[in-house]
Amino acid sequence: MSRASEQFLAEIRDARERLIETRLTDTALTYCIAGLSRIEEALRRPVRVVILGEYNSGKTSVADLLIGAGLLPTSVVANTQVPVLMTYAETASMFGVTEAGTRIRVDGDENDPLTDIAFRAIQVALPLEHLRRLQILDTPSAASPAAFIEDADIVIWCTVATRAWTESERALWASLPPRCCRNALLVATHKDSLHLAEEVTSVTERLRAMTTGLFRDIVLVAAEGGRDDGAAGHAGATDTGAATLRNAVASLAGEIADRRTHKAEKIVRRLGRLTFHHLSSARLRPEIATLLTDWESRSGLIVEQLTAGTRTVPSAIEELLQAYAGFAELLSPGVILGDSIPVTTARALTAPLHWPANGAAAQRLVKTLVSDLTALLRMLAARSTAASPRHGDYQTARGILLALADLDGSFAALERMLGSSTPDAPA
Amino acid sequence: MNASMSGEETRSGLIGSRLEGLRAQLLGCGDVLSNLVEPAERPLVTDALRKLKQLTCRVAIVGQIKSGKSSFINAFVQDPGFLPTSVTPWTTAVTNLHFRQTPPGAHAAIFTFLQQNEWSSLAESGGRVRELTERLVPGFEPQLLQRQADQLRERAQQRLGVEFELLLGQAHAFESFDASILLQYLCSGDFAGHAGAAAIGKYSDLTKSADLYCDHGPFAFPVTVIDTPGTNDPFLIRDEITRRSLGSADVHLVVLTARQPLSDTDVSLLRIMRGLNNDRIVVLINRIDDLADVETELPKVIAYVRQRLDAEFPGTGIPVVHGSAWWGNQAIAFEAEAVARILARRSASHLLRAGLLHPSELTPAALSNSDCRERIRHSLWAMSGLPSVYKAIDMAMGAARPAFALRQITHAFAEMARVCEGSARSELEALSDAAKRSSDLPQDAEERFARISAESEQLARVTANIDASATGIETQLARIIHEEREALRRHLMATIDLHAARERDVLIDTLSRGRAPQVWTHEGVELRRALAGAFHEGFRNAAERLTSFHARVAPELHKLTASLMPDSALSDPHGPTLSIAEPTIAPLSRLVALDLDTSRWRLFWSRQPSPEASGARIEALIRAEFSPVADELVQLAENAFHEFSATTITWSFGACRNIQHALRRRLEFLRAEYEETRRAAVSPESAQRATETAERLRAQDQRVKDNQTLTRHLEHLIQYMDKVLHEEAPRP
Repeated sequence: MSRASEQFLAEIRDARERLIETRLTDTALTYCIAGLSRIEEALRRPVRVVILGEYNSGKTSVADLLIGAGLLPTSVVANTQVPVLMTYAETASMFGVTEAGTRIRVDGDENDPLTDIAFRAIQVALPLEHLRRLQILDTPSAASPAAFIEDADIVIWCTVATRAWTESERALWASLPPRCCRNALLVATHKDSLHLAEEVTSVTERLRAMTTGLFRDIVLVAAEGGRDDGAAGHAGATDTGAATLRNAVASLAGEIADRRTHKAEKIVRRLGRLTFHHLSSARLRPEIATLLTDWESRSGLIVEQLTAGTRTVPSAIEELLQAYAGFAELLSPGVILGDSIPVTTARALTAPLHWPANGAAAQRLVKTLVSDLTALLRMLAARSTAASPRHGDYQTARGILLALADLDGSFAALERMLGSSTPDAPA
Repeated sequence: MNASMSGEETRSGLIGSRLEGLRAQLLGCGDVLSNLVEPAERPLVTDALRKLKQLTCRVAIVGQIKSGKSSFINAFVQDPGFLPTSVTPWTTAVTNLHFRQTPPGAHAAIFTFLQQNEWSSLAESGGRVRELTERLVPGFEPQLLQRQADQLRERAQQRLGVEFELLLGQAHAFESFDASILLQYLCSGDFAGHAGAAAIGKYSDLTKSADLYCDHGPFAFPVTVIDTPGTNDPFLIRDEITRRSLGSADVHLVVLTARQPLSDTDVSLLRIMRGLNNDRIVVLINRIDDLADVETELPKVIAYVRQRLDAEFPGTGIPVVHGSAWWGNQAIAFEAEAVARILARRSASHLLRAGLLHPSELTPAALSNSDCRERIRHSLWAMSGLPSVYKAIDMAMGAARPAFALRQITHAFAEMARVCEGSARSELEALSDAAKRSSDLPQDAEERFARISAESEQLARVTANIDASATGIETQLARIIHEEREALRRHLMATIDLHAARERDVLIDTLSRGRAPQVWTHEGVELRRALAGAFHEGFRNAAERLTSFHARVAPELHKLTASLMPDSALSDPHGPTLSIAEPTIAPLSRLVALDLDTSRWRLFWSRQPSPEASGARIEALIRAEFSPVADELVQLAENAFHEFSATTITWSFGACRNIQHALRRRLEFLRAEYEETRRAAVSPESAQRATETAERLRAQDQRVKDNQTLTRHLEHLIQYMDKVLHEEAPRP
């Protein structure tokens, strides 16, 4: 997982904990906390690597390489007819999953009578640090690969280097949904059977040519390099390819984590904003309620005019911000003297700009701006209401949510949008 | 080639030495026989001799790509550098290696290019697979094939210039050849990975087949070894070439790799070949040197292969041998560096099984000792599996088409020899009678003349009778063949219809349950199996009708002949003389649209409006795809029937005719003798005539004796064949 992802995870964990500390029994807040914890969970879920390939193509050996050669109890899982899932646990353990779905602990000893039970799957848990982030599913070749790819993040297709990429492999791969190719690696095993460096080159070249667009990368590994004592002259003897394989998987896993974080950021922002809006609609004094109703009809009118085309985007924004400033000043005198409207925005507003066309995107932005300004006004209004014992807690929660909702980010987006239409651009 | 390696193990048992022995004997017998038969029947013998001389055994080496077929062939023919090999799929054309055969002209290598239309179909549209896809999903553009076709065209142009199409339909011939020529014509040149690769594969995309004539190799009998590009190639065009070459072989050697033995693809290949004929298959598990722990893994691999073969083809007892072509090649080439690599692998410990080496000698250091080198070399050869391959191929040849042809010819020769012997004997009697009667009285002579005339008349009558029945029999045979052909066709079509209807119902059922259609795939294997069964049954019925007709006709003919010559010694047909060899059913292995993979089917489903429409489409498609296959099968059967009527029945008539001709000659002789007797009565020159008669008698006596020897010899050959060749065929 990249540093940015780690940081984001820490941020939302912190926000969640602080929200819990407010001890507010607000439904919206409860949902928000639950949502945040689910997002954390999703971000923490290890990346699942699914290893596929035809009979004896070296799948288990590749799993072994990924985990760290020799750490996998291969005696039990070699040539297995059931899928084997390798995950992290504090202490090593092994479970068999029966047809009925029951997990039975097995000790991995060949004499264990339980090893004879027809398990549907086997789970191996190992106290290995990198399994916290990667879990590995080794699959039996007899079954259809489509059954295992459902929650796969990375798919590895194993093929024997000396006979890599046959028509039956191509057809099997083509039968999988195209999304598999997005994070797929082609791993040619038994690289040690290639005797010369130029053989490695020509096999790699052929694979590249035959599988264009089907895999992210191609890696050659000597899956049994550790066992077949490397002879002098073996191209595979110098490099088993294990490090290359691990790097390729790690880089894909990093990309996946980044993508997940990016997605999570969007969700968290939306969640924060929705909860923020909800928390702002507290009970208000009648005169303040009237003020807010006035603001709503004023801003509603501006949006209507924008939609009708009688008002341009810049004038709508200018009008809104001015109205906001007026109402804010009424609700909490002196508030607008600070930096509530960023200097840059003000500068943008006063400059003779070419505003963006009155497109749907611009309208959406203006509407978001309206709802955010409304929420801000509500917050100001709430602050000015009679002090309630929970008032401070609400303020804290709103503050946390405001950060999560990233309203500053929204304003930055607005700025970018305004800045994009430079004075030099043609009208 | 290294002489010491092809020593005891191979020389004593060159492949096909028994068949070659038989062939040589039959050639000798035929020469003698052609001097003994009546001149009118001589062409029959000459024709058989021609067939004998042309007799070859075709051994096809098949398997998936990269199972080591070309390397294996090099070890098999004991010439490690013969065919070029590479780590990427390399062989592009079907290569026929002819051993102990005379090349046409003085050419040792002939490379035949594709015809213009064959090239167009490959390069314009991606060949048959494209055509099939087109039939399944009209308008569907298979990118893969189009890309391959484009590559093919561009590459040909780049390698051979813009005018390359002028080469199509032609052939290049060489008086001698070497590796560099083979590289130009037979190797893909793809991903060659080293400099100087420009000439590699120059003509390979245009080359359809290669015929190489070799004067070495471990064969006693004329053998053609066929190297194929291999199945399961994503370059589908090459897969297609391989499939097409399967039908013409007499013995198939299926090469598997020890690491991935007998995958589904291998099994489907075997299914095709089992249709061709199960007792002609040998399975080789190659590359056992790739196993890390041969001692424990190999028995498992062998057990797995046997078990899977037994499950797929119960009771056929396909022989399974194992070895390493690499070891075999190095036993002959013995390149220090390569042998050192072999010894450094864990699999080298298997070499100890030869019993020639001490474990401590399995190191590259052992190569410095010349005695040790020899023992390593012998161990490599012994454990390469080639001695077992030789034996298995030799056995398979004993059950294949050439052996069948030899048996047919032996029986035909034997019958003819017996007939000739009978005729010669009665001629001898007539001569000795004549000699005794040299001082006949004129009235006796008149009496004899009357008898000769009567016999002539009877001969003419019987001859007319035989001629008439010959015409009748021919008509009847033609009718039977026609009827049986139609019956076979109906039988096959009914099988196809039945399956097509069943597939339709299954499909409609599947689709209307709303199951994802890509889960459903057409079981082309089952229909092929059913067709093979139907063909086998239909052919056997037809063959039985034909042979029983022959069995009924022959004694009638013999009776007619016996009325002319009581001891004509014609044996009624029975046993192996009466069998018709079942033709190979190669058309079943043809790729049809139904064999295309699921990614193409998915489009097919998505275009049908309803389950019923899909069902109707699939039914029509199965019928349309398989009826040409059925037609081809029927054609093959018909050819076999015609061949039977043209050989076996023609020989039966030939034997009868031989008697007639002999008889006619005897009568003419008697008539001439009578004329002479009458003339002699006027001017006696009896002394000289007596000498002539004595001379004739002596010659005829010798002729009878020769004939007797020949007949006995041929009878022995038959016994030998029934004993030696028959015992080897695996029992069902």
